[in-house]
Amino acid sequence: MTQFRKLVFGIAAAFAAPWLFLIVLPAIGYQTLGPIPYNKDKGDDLDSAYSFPLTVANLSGQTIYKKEGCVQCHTQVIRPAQIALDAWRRGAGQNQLENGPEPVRATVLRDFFGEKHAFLGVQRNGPDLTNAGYRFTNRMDVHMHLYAPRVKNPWSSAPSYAHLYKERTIQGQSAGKALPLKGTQYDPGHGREVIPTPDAELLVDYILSLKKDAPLPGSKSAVAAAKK
Amino acid sequence: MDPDTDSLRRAAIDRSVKGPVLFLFTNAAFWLMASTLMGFLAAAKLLKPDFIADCAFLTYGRMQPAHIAALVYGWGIQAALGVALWLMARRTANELKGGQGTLVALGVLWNVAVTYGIVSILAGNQTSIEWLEMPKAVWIVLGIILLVFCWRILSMAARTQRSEGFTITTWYLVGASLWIVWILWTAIALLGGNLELGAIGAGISAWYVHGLILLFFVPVGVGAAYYFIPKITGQPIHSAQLAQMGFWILAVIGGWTGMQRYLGGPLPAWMPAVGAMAGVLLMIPVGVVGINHHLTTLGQHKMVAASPTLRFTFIGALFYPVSGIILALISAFTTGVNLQFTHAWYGYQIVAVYGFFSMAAFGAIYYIVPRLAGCEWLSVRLIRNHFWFSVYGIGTIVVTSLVGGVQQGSSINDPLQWDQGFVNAVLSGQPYMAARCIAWALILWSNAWFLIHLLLMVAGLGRRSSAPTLLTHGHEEHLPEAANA
Repeated sequence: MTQFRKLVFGIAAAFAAPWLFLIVLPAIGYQTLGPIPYNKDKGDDLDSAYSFPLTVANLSGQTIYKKEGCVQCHTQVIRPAQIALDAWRRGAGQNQLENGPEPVRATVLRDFFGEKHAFLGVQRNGPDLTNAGYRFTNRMDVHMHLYAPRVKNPWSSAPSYAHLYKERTIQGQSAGKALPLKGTQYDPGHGREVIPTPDAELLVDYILSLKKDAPLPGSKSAVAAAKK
Repeated sequence: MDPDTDSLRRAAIDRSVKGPVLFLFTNAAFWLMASTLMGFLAAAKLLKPDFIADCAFLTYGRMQPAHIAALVYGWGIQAALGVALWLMARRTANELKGGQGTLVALGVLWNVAVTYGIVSILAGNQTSIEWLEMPKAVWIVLGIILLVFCWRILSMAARTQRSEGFTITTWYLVGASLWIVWILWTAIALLGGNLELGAIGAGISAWYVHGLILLFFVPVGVGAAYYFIPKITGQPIHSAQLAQMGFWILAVIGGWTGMQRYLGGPLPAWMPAVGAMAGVLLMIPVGVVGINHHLTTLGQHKMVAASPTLRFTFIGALFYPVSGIILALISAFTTGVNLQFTHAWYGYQIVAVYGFFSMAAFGAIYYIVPRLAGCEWLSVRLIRNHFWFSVYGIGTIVVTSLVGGVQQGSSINDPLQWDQGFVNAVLSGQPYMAARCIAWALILWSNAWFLIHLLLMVAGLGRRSSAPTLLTHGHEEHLPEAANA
């Protein structure tokens, strides 16, 4: 009996340490974090009327992202430039064409404020989506990726989310929001069209809202100090 | 104690756990087959996304988590509970005193909950929290059932009268029973409620995954190996000191690992750093256990060929150090950066849950079921078939996932490809996906036969014989008594 008690006590003591310090305390600590106000005096471009983070991702659209399991192939993590290439890749941030003068900044804890659970992702079978909002110039491009992924990139391994779209017979004028599928392998045929459901619109809202690159308060002054 | 009373006592213990254990094993084997099928479909969809494109439930984003959920909750935990229940009863010489009906009823509830959870994932209603994709209500049901099962297992250990009841196997099983309840209920409390946790939540889910592997599947598998290897080779565990050391280092380090999953990510940097350190340090307990198992088997490799139980346990014990090395590779800073977010992660999950734990569980099942069902395995050929297809299939999946992961990761991190989009990362992975597909198909074949074989045994249609089914002939006379016990 005492042997059993000793064993249980030992196991509990060994496990309580990581449980408390790695899980419970950080979870409580996170609740006390707040946004950081910008400060012009410290070199920020924005004044104290603004605070970091500037935006929250579109949460109702995130539900669809979650339900479809997009995390299985897409991450939302940009690792710091000193350890990985994420931040230098074309399309990683605002600059979509050229190799920018500076890498995109790495994701930080406060980027996920307002999200109950950050969907950081399981694997990268597709590109990182941290700043996907900049990558698409209009809604229709996102719809086309979701419905007809292999029109733009024939090698893509993305599934077609056809169940988020509705195929129907064109009545009179083709609807403005119908997908431009003519001539592609997804062409619904003559007199037919494909339009997004509300869920598809929500998902597109979410993807376009992904812009986690608001300037970090005080980071510029830190860069300036480092250059001196 | 004279041998007759001893075997009567063993028979009484076996009878007392028969219902729940056989129930868990058969249902687990069903789920294993379901998981294998879904693993095949998920790999096929990643390779050819337009393959049966009209079915939403077949998309990779749903199929992959359903595949893992079936592997972990349908097969893994059920098989582990069955093994743990039997091992603990035998080890501590306790009969399961009453409540068998309740345990079977809870087993039914477990399967209903897992079925509901997996159907929910496939129907497009998942949480997208890794390894916890099933709806939150399911977590709570599973948590309550685990509480009861682990309570029964622990109370047997608490009641044990004999000092030899407290061997290393008992330690591992006590640990596993405590840890899984603790880990799962922590996840339920933190991730299942309305708490906003942002990136910390992602870290906790990574910790949960590693905790379930390292502090539940590993201890049950290692505990079973520590029981069956000496039992069948007839040699005592080589070193009691190594055994204790391996256990306590795992107990101390195991809980710290997991968050290296998001190395360089938005978590406070110390959290992934601690996880990475723990992931590498775990090589020590893994190595210690590996050496101990090796030294215990040394000189008795003939038995590995002959005994199905020892053969599966032995290969599981080989996969254990492999899983430790892979964990260290994906954790260490230099290699982890390239392996992060690639197929290597899948490789690790499979080598740990299937390559190591499931092989050890198969070994245990081949030993336990004849004793509970009162008949012997029907066919040597079916066991061999199960063994070789599993070993080659899992080996293929692990190797291709690792190599594919290196390719994928180095393509993502290749400065020369900074403007190449994702084309190379996708194309270079495809051959490995094809291999994964074929491997799951082969495993599906062997698992189907395993299931049929097991069902026949449970139905009492096995061989009526007092001699166990061995895989080689002509050496039976050299087997020590223990192999037949």
